[in-house]
Amino acid sequence: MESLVAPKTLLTQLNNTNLKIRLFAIGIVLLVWQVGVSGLGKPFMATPLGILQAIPKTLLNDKKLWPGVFETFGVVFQGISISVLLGVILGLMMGRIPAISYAFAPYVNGFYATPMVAVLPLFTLWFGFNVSATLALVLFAAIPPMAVAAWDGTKALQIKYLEVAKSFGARRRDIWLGIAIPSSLPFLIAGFRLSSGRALSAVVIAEFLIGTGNGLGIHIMRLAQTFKHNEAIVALFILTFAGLFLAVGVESLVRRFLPWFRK
Amino acid sequence: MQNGLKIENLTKYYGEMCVFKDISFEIGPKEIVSVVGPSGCGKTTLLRCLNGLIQVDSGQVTLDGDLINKPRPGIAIVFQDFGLFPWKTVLDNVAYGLVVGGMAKSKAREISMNFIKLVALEGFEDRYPHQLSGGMQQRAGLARALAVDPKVLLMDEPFGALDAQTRELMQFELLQIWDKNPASMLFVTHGIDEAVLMGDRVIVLGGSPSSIHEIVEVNLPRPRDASVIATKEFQDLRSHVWDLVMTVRRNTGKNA
Repeated sequence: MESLVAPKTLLTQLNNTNLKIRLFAIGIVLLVWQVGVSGLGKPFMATPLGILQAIPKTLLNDKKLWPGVFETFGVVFQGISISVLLGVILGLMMGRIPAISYAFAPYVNGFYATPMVAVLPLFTLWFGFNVSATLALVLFAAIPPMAVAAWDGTKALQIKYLEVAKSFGARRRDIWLGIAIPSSLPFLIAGFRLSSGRALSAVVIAEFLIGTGNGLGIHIMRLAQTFKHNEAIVALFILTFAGLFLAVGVESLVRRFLPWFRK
Repeated sequence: MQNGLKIENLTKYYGEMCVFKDISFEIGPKEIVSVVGPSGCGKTTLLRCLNGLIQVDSGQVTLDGDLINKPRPGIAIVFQDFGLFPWKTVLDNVAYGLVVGGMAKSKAREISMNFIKLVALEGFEDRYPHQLSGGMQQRAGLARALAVDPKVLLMDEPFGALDAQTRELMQFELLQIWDKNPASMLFVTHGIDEAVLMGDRVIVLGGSPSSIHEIVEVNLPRPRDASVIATKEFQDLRSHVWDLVMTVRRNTGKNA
């Protein structure tokens, strides 16, 4: 009986055979990479062994790495927080109040559809070549998916659970707290995933193109341009892990605290 | 003072389109009235008008003489798609009506446990709906409706989303449960067998806009169980209702 409700973790999903396949595949990739780069005779290119050596060196001795991490993730954190707050409020209002949805839908959909990198030149003119433009780009990228998610969530609510609640005499307060919020959670989580991924991309893009500051993105760029490819990849891993954490971490928190939620 | 649910001259429009017109009937205390008719004839809309979930354009519904124009305790719906909240356990789903009605949570859970036992879901009260089969989910839906001790149960094609075997099982289980907890019941269904098996009367809706084509009295003895299906009386009633539904289908021009 209990096995029915056992939580699915990453580890239980990978059975033994699949784990072996995965390890085997990564072994092949690393081997081909190492041998291939040696054969090319371009010593500045990153190799698995070079990266392995660079990991402790970069993490411990690179004086610009951690300030860069703090700068970049500071903006990411701020941007995601503001986007979630504004996006959810906007989306809920669009879902509940038709006039608001008529007024804002073109902007939400339009901004969502616009490639974020294209607006950066304008943002740098408006906000300056500094972190304000970066933050503006993050908001531009991350608010629309969050708003759309909350909007969809409230729309789905009206169709399905409202009738049940009303038939049992639920009042306005019961519906908002007891129905609207939990029923839109799956949508909000999906929105958060999209939104946080876009926020991360937006920060790095902005750092690359603005070219000032000392963020992680600009640090990776400088490492690569000075032929420190092993170190650049170590720094890149930090972004990868951050992205994974936002996606998988949120997922496992959800599984832990919202056991009813299925993807 | 009149007892039971009284429906008088109900008429409902959606915009320009008239869904049904001049519908009048009564459901006495502890009586079951089935409603059948072609798809799209407004059965489900009619059901929602009976507890005030949807407002009618004219006519009125009264329960024991009191006007019904918005949902109120005493009338509970069992929904076709179960309508369980996925974020609540079976127990909290069953307790929902009681809690919303203002009862303390612990008391509501205690009462709900009795109804969970009644619908044979004991041991599953801490599960979430997605962990249950369709049949079990609808038992929870039924328990939730019964828990508020309704005078009237509105059944909106309650077994329509279930497979054929489960549906048959649930029909007889519902009859048994009703024998223990008799309430007035409106039973909207697509199934003609089901309508005859459940009902003291079967209302055949048809036409456009829909109206009552005929009301068939079902004089089969209660309690009813699986043996009733084999009787000649059941089969005769069944084919009579079948003929009526086919007739209104032809006349409505909905030969799908």
